[in-house]
Amino acid sequence: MTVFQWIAIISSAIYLFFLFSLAFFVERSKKMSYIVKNNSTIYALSLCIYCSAWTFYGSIGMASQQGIQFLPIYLGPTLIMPLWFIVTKKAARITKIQNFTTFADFISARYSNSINLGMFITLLSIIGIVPYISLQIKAIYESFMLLIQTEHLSSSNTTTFIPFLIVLIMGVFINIFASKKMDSNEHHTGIVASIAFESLFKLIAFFIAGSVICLIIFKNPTQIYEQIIQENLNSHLLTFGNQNHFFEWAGLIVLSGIAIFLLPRQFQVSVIENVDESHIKKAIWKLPLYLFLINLFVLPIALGGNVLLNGKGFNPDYYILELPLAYGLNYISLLVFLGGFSAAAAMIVLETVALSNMLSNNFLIPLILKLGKNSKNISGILASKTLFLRHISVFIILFLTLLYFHSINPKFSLVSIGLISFVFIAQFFPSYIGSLYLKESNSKAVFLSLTTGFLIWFFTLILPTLASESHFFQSILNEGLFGISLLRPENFLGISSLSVIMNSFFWSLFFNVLVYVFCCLYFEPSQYEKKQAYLYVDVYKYGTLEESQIIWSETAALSDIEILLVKFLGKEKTKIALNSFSKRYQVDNESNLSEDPRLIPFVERLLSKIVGTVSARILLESVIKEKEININEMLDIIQESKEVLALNRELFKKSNELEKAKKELEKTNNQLLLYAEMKDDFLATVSHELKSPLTAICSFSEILKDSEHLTEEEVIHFSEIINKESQRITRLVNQLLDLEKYDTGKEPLNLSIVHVKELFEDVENALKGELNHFQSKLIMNISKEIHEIVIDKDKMMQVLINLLTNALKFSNKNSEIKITCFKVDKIIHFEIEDQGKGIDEEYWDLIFEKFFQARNQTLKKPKGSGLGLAICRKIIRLHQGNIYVKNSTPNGTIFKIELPTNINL
Amino acid sequence: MPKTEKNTKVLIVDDEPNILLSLDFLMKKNGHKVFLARNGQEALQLIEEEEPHLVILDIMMPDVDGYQICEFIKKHPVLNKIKVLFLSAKAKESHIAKGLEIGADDYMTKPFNNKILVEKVDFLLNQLD
Repeated sequence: MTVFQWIAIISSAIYLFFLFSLAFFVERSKKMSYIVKNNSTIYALSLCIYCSAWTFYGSIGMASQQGIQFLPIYLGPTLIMPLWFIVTKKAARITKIQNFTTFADFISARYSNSINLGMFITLLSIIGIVPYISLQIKAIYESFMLLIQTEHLSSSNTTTFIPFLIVLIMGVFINIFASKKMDSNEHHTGIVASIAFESLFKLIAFFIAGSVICLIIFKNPTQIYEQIIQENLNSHLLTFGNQNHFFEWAGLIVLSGIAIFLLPRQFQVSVIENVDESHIKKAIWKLPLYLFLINLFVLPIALGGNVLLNGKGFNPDYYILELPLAYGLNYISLLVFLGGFSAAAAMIVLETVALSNMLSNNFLIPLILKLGKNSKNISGILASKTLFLRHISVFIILFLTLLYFHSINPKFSLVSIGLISFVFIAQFFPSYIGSLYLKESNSKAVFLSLTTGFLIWFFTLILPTLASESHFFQSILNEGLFGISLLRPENFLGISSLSVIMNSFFWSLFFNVLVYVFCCLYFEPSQYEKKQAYLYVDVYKYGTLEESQIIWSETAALSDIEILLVKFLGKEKTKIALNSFSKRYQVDNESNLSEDPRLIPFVERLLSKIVGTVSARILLESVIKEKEININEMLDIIQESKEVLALNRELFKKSNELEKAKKELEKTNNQLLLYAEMKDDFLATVSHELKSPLTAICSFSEILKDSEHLTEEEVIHFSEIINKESQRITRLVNQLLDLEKYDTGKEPLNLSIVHVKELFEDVENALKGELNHFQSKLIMNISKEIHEIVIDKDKMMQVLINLLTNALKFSNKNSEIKITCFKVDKIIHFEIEDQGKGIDEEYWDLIFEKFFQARNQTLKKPKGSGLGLAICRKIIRLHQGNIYVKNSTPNGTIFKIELPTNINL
Repeated sequence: MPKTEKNTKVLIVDDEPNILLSLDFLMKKNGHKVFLARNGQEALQLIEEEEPHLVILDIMMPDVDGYQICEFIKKHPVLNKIKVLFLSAKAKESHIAKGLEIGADDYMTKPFNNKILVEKVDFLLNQLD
């Protein structure tokens, strides 16, 4: 063997190992599981499992023969996305509520006679899909053989050994990551993660190969087209063809559009594995984007292959692998192989998971239960064998696949087998949509329409492929069934212009729908079906409860139910489950619990996670005597449950609200207490401040009245004191009133345009007496850019006079007081600076509080009322400005006022 | 002019200069020797230096408040004989009760009646004799 062959084999093994590790790691790590479950892109990538080996290799093969005819397979899903979103969301909701594990569960649980229906659907699905899985094995095998290009390996040994090896590895993978859990309803995060990765990988591989072919093998993509036109090689591939092609196009679009709903692997990833309904909505653009990207290079590669490899015995399906090989780019081919392997392997794994779940849950387990009906311990035996049955189912499916692989008719291309499966799967579509949207749907309609569809499918699509093997089939093909020429498979009912696939698709679905609609109109749904119809069709109305599927009015002894549950769940889980039930519906005592009509459905849901819905129902039938309740009773119970839950929520909300209201009240109360305290404090201070001058006045007036021997000087002095103290009271009262007016907003600003110079001069005039008294000087400074400002002049004067008086009072005699006005960034600044002692930094904020000095007795006795600065701050704030104080250097205090230029009221 | 020269020393403690002035006038007129303090520190100093017979004491003052001064006097081993008359704007019963509890001899609220004040001072000083 050559070095490249070894490398090819080893890198395949490494790639497989990587996929295993990824799945393993994701399952193990809670964080990774969480990411996988909550990422809408990973969900969308897992949907891209639609692109199997058929896309990876088959599209190119098809494009090389029929040109852009390969496109409808991708246009179908793209166009149908909005409808897909609506239907899939509803199906996902129902599946989540009812814990379905398979498509067969989904359909059969809707109807009476569900065991038989489930088995029927399982069998049909296996028949329809196994060939399609074989196709993937064929693709892996063929691409691998092409890659390693070896003569002596292609003996009959390898045709047996390699596919067997592939199947074995897949089987082990599935059994490790999908079937090991009792609870088959649990999400397979490991598998989903590896599938999403494979989707990404195959896209990248396809892109790299496409780029290499377009840019390296051909110098640029246009060269391919030019060469086709020059050499007049199959240029028809670039056109839509004749009118028949339009039927073909339309048909294929519808067919593939249906397939994206119902291929078992698509149903598995889009509905069963769905965790978050919002992901479905996001997928409606992410999936089409992927389909667009992966198809970009199909045509250039197909045409390039036609130009370079045509007529040299190459299989067009593998152009993407052959082209790089032919030009010595072996490693590109290796990458392509791994991409194709990803596409095929992902499809095999998921399709097998879906089918084997059906086989075990909808076929084998119900079958055992049915056969063992008389055996007492059947549920016990089943409980111990459930896992085994699931493992065995995986290998049964894979074995069937292998068997089919060895009998594949070599004349089929990848695409044709795929399309046969597509047509087959499309037969489920009327029943699927009917189950979701038609209350009239019934089991007879489903049975009969499916049977009709599949018979016609077999007759028109499978029979012709068998014709070469038997004279009987040959004669039917040529002369029609029973010699009736209208019943010729390939020209069914005399129409001959359709292709084999379209012929079959059209007629099978036509009669399928016809029979379905007729049966819906003709047959009455059973009681059970009427009830289920509510839970499917009106899922958004009734389906919010897990226990909504109420079937039995009779109840079972709690002990029987417990015994049954313990067998499948174990003791601990059983206890937890029953506790959670009684908590949720507030059923506490045991007899109430066993009589609750919601208990049986609850238990059924628990069991169906493990053995599937059908088997769960059979198991429960063994412990209860069934007596069906009528629809109204059921809807009443559902309504009641909903109300209890709503009430719980309401109560919870209410108690939260009460708690919140209580806290708010407490807060308000505290605040009120604080205000009351502040008010008391304020009143005490005010009364003290009033009483001081009043005391002096009283005392001196009494002295003046009573004392006869006062000197004239004394009389004058005492009178002066009385006068001064009276003024002090007046001032205090006025300021209190001012403050109250500003606080309550009774005194609005009276704004006008004022010249700063004028303002300053007025202030100076008002202070003349004081200035003379202190023999101090007022230095005014107005910067040039300021002329006029908008203020309430009287109030601003009050502020400035107050600040300047303070400045004078706290300075020595003969000092300078500066008043400045300037503007920076639309803010007008006033500054009043003195040469006094300054104010300790800790008091810079406090001095603006009312009666700050009076209440802080450690300071010197105030020389004013204690309200001046509080009023100043009030006035400045009314002007939407700011006032604060700092110490100036080297000593002194500087009061700063900032006013906005654009005051609005 | 003082009526009769007594040998009694009265200390007046108040941070309002005009109230101080009127009390000074009244006490001198009544023949007492008067000392004035405008804050707690000054008051404590004068109490220790002059050992007055009676202190007219304001409560709300910068630095040391009247209650503290009263407590100082009444707990002092030697000076505890000094009579204390509170004269305060605080008129709540709780304030008065507190003042008497810590040992004050009487409590008057501001604004006060000159005659009653003088009477009370005399009454308290008579107790000493």
